[in-house]
Amino acid sequence: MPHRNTRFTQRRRFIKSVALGAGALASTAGFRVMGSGLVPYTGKLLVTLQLSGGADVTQLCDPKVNTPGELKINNWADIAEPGRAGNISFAPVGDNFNLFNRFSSDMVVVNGVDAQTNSHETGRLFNWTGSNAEGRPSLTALHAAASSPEQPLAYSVYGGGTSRTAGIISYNRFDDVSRLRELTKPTEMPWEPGRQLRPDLEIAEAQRLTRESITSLFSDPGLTPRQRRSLTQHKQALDGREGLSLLAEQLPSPEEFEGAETFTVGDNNFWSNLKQQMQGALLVFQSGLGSSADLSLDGFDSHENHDAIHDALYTHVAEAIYFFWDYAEQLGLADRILLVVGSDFGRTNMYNDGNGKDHWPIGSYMLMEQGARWGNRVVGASDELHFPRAIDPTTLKISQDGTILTPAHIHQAIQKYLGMNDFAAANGIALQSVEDIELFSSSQQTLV
Amino acid sequence: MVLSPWFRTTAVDQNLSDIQHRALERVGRGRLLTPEELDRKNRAVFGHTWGQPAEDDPYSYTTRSNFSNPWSGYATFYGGIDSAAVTSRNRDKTPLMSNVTEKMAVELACQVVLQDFNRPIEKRLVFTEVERTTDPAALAAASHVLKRNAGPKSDLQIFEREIEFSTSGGEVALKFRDATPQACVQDLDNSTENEWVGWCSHIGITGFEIHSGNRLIRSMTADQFAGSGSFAPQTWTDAETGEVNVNGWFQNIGSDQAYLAHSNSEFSFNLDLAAGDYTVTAQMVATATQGHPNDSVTVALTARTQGIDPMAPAAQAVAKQLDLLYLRATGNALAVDTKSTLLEAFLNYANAAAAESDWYNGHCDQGGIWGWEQRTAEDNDRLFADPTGGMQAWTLMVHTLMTSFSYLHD
Repeated sequence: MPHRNTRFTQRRRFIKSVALGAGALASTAGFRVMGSGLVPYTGKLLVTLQLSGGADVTQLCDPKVNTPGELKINNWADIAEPGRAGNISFAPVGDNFNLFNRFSSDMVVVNGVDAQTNSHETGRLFNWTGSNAEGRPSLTALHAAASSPEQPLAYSVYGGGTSRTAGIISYNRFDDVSRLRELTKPTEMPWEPGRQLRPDLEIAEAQRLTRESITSLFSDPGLTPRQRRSLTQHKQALDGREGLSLLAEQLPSPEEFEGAETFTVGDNNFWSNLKQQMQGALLVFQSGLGSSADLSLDGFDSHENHDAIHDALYTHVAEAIYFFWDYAEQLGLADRILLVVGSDFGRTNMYNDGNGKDHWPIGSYMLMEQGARWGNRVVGASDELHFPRAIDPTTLKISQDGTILTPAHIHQAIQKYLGMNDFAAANGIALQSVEDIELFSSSQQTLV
Repeated sequence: MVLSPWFRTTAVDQNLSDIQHRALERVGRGRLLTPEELDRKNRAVFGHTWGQPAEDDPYSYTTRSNFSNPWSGYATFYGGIDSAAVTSRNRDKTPLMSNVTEKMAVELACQVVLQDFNRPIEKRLVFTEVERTTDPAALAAASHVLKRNAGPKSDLQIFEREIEFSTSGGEVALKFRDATPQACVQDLDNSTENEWVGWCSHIGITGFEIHSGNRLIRSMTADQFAGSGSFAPQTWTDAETGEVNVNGWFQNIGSDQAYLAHSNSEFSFNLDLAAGDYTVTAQMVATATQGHPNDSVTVALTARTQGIDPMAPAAQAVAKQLDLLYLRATGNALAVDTKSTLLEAFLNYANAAAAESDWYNGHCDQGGIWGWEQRTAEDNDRLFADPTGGMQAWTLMVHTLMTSFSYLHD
């Protein structure tokens, strides 16, 4: 398989070039070590929210009413019509009415996106890397590597499941957001902030002796180049811990962290720390130590009791999104964030025998940005039975000769919008043969 | 390959060209250990790793630790992989990784010290040359059990005890510490929630003589202590009033006087002595409240210098232990200058810790060492006794080692 071999070689060459680049930098006088974090990141911030398990977008942003002669697609359509906020239609489920009325001008909805799979793993891979083959970074990893590789928390993952690094950057996974405090204040008692685990003098002396030993080692003329390079990094990492204290200073007390929420739907119990994930991500951003975060909410794989589960989860998602933007505003970050909401894929255009819905490859994205000049728009479409419709990539109008959107198109557009495409191309990880679509146009949209 | 110069090189000619320098930056020693390697190194060197439970789960095919737990561990924060999303290890140290090793050291060093010092010396992995009370400033140390042979326990009974030492000259502190286990015992039948009732034992002194050979150098009796300028009883400060109080009292004993120390406290005499060999003969006193279940008290008698006398056996034992510790942990001999710095830090911190408390201070996850079964007060006395601050000073040494470049890199 020559094609695969070629790509493999390219990847190896890329990793090698990154490694050599870092090495070259480390040997240069005045080099700022990777991760020093002393200059806070102030650029664009990217957050992805994965609605994990396959969210039914016909109950969210691609509402479908029932078609005579066809199996019922939505029970809600028996008693209600889709709502509308500006140019965006939504299903009258959960708290969608308030969600879309508050944010329609700040969002573009992308409908009829074909993940080309019914597999959760492949769906997540495609939706968040833009490729259904392994080996590519997730959108957030790419953004972090392109925009803030020097920051110690450039790429943070909360919940996980969608994150791929492809070797271009490391991520920090915070399954428990309280880890943020532990890692920024490593000598403190996690359960009693401000109090040291060991006596103050012991910690201060250990840190003094460690620094003195570094100074002593530097004077050793027999150090190998690798030892000198590693010693330089060791010292600069130590110095850079000061940067992490920026975050520590901004962390609220444990009781001020958003707690996990539980709710019961029929026989299903749901647990969510989504708001805590959001809080953690935003606090990292505020410290200037990172630029990307992956958030995740489980529970959407509703093969049974579909409507009740989605109603509860969409209500929770709406509340979490209100919290996200309110908290971002409170921290002064709201105008820097692009929030991308997506899932593995969609759910079937009919109910199964257990009042559930099964896997369906067609899904949607919602992209949100405060004051977005490209807001209040819908790009892409699906038909009345939730099959994807082709669109003209330039005019975005329905076109039989047009393009069926896949996650690759959305990734291509976001990469360009955030200015990551040059970085991706320079490092051999640009998406290949993907048409550009005017996802961030201020005027074009798909009208059905 | 293992026998090749690439693998075995420990130093290079520094007259390298830029290209040679760059080419060698990924070769040879100085590679940052991966989380997995560091985990195994902790176990190999200290017999315990970070986050390791007291007993490994017999039903698990992997041992648990903070570097091996894929769900709540720290491996991914330390440049590790999860074999799914992250498949390439980060070898370039970052501030976050530096914080991870700081946290590891803070949490693990105390466990290593507590666990190892509470093993019989022949079963220890790390501290094979010292005891927890080995004091590098000690010129000599002796422990005397003063056992009552007759009479009421409340009577003051006198015992003559000696300590011999050599000094290179300078100030020497003669320290008398009440090392009696369970010096105070609670009377559970008569104690109430608001009132402690029980029995306490005490050590004291009526005087001492110092000889060098047959020559009497100095003698002092208790009535001379206060005005001597060399008597230094332990004190405590009233937190509310700020008043400083002595941890003991003077009491007549026949026509003489004795100084008696509060239970488990200490007192010292600071003496300026010329270089030479000395014998101190002390007239010790023992007493206890009538009804005390024990018949003896224990006095730890130490002759200490202000700094470290490199010829003193205790200083040599601590220095040897440092040498062995660094050799075991890094494969390298400890440089003389570094050892001197560490010894000084050891002594200063041990002194500070001992002045603070007779106990091992600070938090330490004991459950990770001995499990969470309830222990008796006697067990805790034995496990956490640190009268000279030695265990805390060793914790400082191990912490420093664990965050050192040499420990974290191959």
